Amino acid sequence: MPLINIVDQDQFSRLTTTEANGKIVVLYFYATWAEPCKAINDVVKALSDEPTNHNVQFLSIDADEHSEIAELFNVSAVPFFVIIQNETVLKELSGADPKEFVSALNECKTAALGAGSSSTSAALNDEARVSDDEDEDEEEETEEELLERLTKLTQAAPVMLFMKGSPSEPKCGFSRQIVGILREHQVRFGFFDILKDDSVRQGLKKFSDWPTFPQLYINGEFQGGLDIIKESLEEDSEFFQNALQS
Amino acid sequence: MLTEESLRSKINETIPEVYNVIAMDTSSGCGQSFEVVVVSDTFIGKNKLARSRLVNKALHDEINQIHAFSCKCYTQEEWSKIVV
Repeated sequence: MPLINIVDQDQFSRLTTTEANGKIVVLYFYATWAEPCKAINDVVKALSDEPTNHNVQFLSIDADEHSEIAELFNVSAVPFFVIIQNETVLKELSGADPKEFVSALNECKTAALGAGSSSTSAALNDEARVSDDEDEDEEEETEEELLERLTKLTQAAPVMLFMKGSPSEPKCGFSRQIVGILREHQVRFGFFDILKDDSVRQGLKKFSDWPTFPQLYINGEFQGGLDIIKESLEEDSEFFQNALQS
Repeated sequence: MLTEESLRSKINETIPEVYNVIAMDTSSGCGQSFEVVVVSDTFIGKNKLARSRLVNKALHDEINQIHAFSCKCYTQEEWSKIVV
């Protein structure tokens, strides 16, 4: 989607909440006096015009003019990228490496493919079903592809939550509780709505060797469901910080 | 439909050295969601994840039938500290 330069906080709030509609939103913080931003400005503009990003909302924010917004995201240096979805920070990047940013964005898009309600996830499901009817080779490939997709998904963010519904609209009591716990401990996390993708829902049960949802992954490693997270916190109030560092 | 009793017997049959087992139907008798406590020294040396996985495997068929399941696994020593 075309790059929008933020002019005021209201516009910023609107574009990142009510008008976001589950889209990935990229926040690009820049400063007019910063030399590296000049080159990055062009990169961001080009990315926003790319057809593969037609569903990604790119917002550029002058960090000096809108220092309150910059403070919200702890922007300490420019250029600075924050990738958010459904009011949750998926990734943050400091620095001027376009390749790093593009790969971070792609990781978020892969995670979003299933979580979003777009037709893309339906298409992925249909593909898997059609292959099931054909000979064994095709089936195996689909399982391998699913395995690869699951590996990428579980590593899409340092903390990844596979839940029913979304953080703003959980569709199950346990999922709602775990979102509450993550927010209470101010843990930034990415999420995936398993109700929107049945192959991930079933595949992940095998992948994690765990029969229920929600499921929490930290640094690509399965941690457990709600019970285990609660118990771990009882034993160690710094559970999340420690797990993230290991 | 699953009952507290059927879960208890399955656990006793499949998990070694069960000292105590408590099963509660938290769906008001609908057999849809259960909370289970298992006390056994087979859990010694296993972390939370490994313990839960043991119970999950033992109750694999049952869990697939219900909507919500949660379990707490203790060794006899840990249990004695809770239940004074």
